Amino acid sequence: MRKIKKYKIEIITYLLFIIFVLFSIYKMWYCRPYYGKGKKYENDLTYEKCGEYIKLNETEKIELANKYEHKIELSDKYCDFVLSYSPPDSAYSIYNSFLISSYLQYIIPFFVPLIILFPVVYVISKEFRSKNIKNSLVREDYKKYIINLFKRAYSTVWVFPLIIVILFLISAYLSNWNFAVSGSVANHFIDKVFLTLTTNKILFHISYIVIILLNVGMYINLSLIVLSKNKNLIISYIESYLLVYVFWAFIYIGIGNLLTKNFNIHSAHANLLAIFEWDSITNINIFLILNIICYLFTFVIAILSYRNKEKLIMMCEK
Amino acid sequence: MKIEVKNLSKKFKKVIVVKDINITFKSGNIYGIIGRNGSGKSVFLKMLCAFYIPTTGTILQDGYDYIKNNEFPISTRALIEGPDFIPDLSGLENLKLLASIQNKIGEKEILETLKQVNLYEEKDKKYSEYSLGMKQKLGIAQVLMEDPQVMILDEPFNGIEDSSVKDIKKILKDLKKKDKIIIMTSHIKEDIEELSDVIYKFDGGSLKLKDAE
Repeated sequence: MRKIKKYKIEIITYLLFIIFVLFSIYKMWYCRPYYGKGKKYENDLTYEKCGEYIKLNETEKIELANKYEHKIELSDKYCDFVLSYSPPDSAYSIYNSFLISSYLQYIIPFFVPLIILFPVVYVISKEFRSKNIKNSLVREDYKKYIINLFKRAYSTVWVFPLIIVILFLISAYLSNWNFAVSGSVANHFIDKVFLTLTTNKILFHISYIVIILLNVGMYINLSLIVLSKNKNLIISYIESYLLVYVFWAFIYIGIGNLLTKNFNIHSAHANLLAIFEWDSITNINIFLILNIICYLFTFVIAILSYRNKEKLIMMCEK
Repeated sequence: MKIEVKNLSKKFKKVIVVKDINITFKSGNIYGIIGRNGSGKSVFLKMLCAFYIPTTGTILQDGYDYIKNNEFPISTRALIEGPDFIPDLSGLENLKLLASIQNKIGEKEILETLKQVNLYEEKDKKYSEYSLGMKQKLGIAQVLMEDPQVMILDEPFNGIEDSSVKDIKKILKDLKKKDKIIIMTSHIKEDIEELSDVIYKFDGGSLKLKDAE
């Protein structure tokens, strides 16, 4: 019981994540009858109609194409392309339909930082508020203390990427372990990026998870920066949350414009919160590199924020 | 062991808090420091612990400048401006957590120290539920438990009942015999006079021998 009390915040955070996973599973399971039937999504309709179209004679093809003219493109070339991929009920299309093309794509970018930041801010602000730092710093040097502090802040970094992996595995299970890239996925999921990488799926999966890890790391770094100046739980929580969006806006506007003007790359590649929607991102490598740079930048700033031992002790003493 | 403080000063922005202190602390002595609130006592003690960095001057521990080398003073424990622990943990858990940093002692030594300061019965109680006196005793226990060479105690008897004060005083006298350096402050003149071999007075940031007044 005492142990539960001791780790209550970490437990609450994990519970929130578990609720999120359970909700996701429920949603996926609920949508399951639609997968492969081509009823729920426009792109499944494309797949279904292309299946019909390809079997018709030329006159019937023109009739069908005219009938769906405003909804979908029906041509030999396009239908060959769509049908050359596996049916729409692949692991990617299920994952896509849930996390990327559902309303969750708008909720998650605001919800996820909130959950990730809480255990970090709670644990570190509690340490600072307790002023236990003075007892520790006569027993270990400051550098070691800060390394341990960062380790504690990073102790939950794996939770969210793990949840993403679990959700993807559930998608894979629901699709009968079908990992082929369907035409519908090509239109939605990570747009053209995925198609450019279908030859190297493993690299794509690793990059996808690394980008999510870097994002979570960035949130942790930003909260550590805030906590070096303020030990109040509520204030530092709000400030950390706001800093995530200030940083996002700065990168999106500043770096995004730079990419567009100088390299003719869509500014969406500088949209750090696009880890789910991937809207207009056409090159995963650029997105990955930008995430690495942003992560390293926030990490260096976080380290520099803790450079001054005296200032940190004085902040804790206030 | 010997701690030499040479030309030590501390300035916060434009305010000089500690002014040109020269003093040597030697083993087997209890040093009493008196002074009004805000006289610079705590800042001086924090510089000894390397919490604050001196504006000028040096502190040498057996000739080694630990502050210049960004290190912490060897075998030094301190209780400055009251005890500070993690409120959600019990007294024992807090001490175990601190002892785990250097891993020099085990639970047995911690429990013995808690007995010495009369806190054994309350060892499993949450720190946030401790009374002021119990918190103070836990602060003293964290100073004593690893048998350090140098002990810095800022107002160690605050809130502690008389019988325990008597026991702690006895512990400090015994430690002095074991060649330890004890630096303590107290606003109770009798405590300082009873325990200290040398008494210094902090006044306006300067440290003077009390007898020299």
